[in-house]
Amino acid sequence: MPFFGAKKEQEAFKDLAIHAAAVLETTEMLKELFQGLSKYDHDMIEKVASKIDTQEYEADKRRRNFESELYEGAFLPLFRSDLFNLAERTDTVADEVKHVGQAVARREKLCTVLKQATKKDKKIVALVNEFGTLAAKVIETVECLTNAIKALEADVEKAATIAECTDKLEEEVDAIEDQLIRSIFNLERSLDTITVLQLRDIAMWTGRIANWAEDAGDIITMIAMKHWA
Amino acid sequence: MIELIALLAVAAAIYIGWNLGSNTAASCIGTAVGGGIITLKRALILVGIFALLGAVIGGGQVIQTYKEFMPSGSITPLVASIVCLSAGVFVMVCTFLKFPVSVTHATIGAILGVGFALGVSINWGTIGKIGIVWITTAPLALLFGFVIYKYFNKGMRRVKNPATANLILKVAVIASGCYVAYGLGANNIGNVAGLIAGANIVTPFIAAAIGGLAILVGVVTWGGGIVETVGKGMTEIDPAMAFAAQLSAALVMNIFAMVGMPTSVAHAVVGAVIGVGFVKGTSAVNLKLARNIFLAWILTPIVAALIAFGAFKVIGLF
Repeated sequence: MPFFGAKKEQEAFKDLAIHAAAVLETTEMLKELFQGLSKYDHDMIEKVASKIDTQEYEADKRRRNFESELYEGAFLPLFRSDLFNLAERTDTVADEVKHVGQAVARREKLCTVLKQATKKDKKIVALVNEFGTLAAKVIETVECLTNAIKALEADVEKAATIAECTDKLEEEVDAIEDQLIRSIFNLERSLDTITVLQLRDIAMWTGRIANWAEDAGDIITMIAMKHWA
Repeated sequence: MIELIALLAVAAAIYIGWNLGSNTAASCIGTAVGGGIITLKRALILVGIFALLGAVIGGGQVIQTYKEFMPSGSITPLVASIVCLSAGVFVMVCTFLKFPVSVTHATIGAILGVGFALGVSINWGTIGKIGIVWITTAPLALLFGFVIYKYFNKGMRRVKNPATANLILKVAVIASGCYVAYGLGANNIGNVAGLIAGANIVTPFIAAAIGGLAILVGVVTWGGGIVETVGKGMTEIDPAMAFAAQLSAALVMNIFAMVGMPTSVAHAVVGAVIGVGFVKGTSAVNLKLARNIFLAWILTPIVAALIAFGAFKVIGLF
């Protein structure tokens, strides 16, 4: 329990955790987004992308709330700059999710092309489902980051220990992403060049979400090392 | 005429107090203001109040020491006026030239100068002790800084809750800043009040109160600019370092005040910051700064003594 008199800091931590939860909620929408892709349902994808947009905006508002509390004097400057960086980097996760949503939704033809390609090559079905697997691991990574941020309020060392799992999970995301991109290129005969490149970009950008989560996790580790090691 | 000279001596002492308050406020709370822990206005009020408390509560021994530099009766209102004005003008000129010097060193130098001019026997035993105190101020503060920072950091690592750690650091920095102000008041009040008490113009308690108020006014009216400048320059010092350095400097000032030995707050702060730096493993010893301090340490009493000696001889012509 923190001492009486640290109200401003406690409020700020609450807002940081709310922001992290909003970012996780945004990331979880990737699941629905790739479900839309596996159903070749462009309308569904458009709707999910729009929901992601709204949710990312909500996360932005939460981040601004937290940052304004820092500007209003919560925490000493040495903690302030690290926490500011943590919020910014965590927010990048939601930004990247939005980017992926737009990348999938922008080309209306993508669903039609993929649907037609499945008739020629059944491997396309497995390929599209692999995006779901990648998204699930990315969500797991962001969930780990969110838990670490929540733990930060009570125990910085515990938070750093939780944050360590973002490293491991990001490695796993990298492996899935690599495998997925290989699969995409292996199917270049069944798909047109634009589709191959678009799918490759979607896979890369989805994987990058885990990188941002790992970077945010590293900031938590750094806070623990800098002030408590 | 005697009353007029006595009034001049009190005015000169107030001038030294004002100078002391405006120049040293930054050493007390500059880090806290620079770090956004406390507003400038609140910081100045706290420093002023604690300096006044230090002067009134803890300044008695140092005032007594100033009274004993020369034989009883040789400290007259004229002597007090010349000493205070010589030291005050010298410090002001050095501050204007951006060469910070110790008010304590200047005042004691001026006392010696007037003592030589008067041809009275000077209490060399006390002067010798003060010399030793001046030499040991920075090393002692360095030692305190090293030990306090090491163990404070160790303790802070056990506080896992960042909000609590943040609060402890805030309180520690402000409290130690107030303690430096108290130490400053207790230790340096002799510069302001020692001679007007020695010349029997007022009682030692009234002298301490006048001096303390002069320091308070100096802090509140003129300390702000320096606090802000120092604060901005010190943001690299983290709160734990600031706390350890401030507490160490305050302890040195207070301990020496308790045994009646006046010393320089700037030397105590610099020594403490170096000690804290050693724990961090950084080479905090700035050779140029160390050289300037050493030069100031040697030159200040000599130049102030020459000014006071000359002033006394010139006035003696009339």
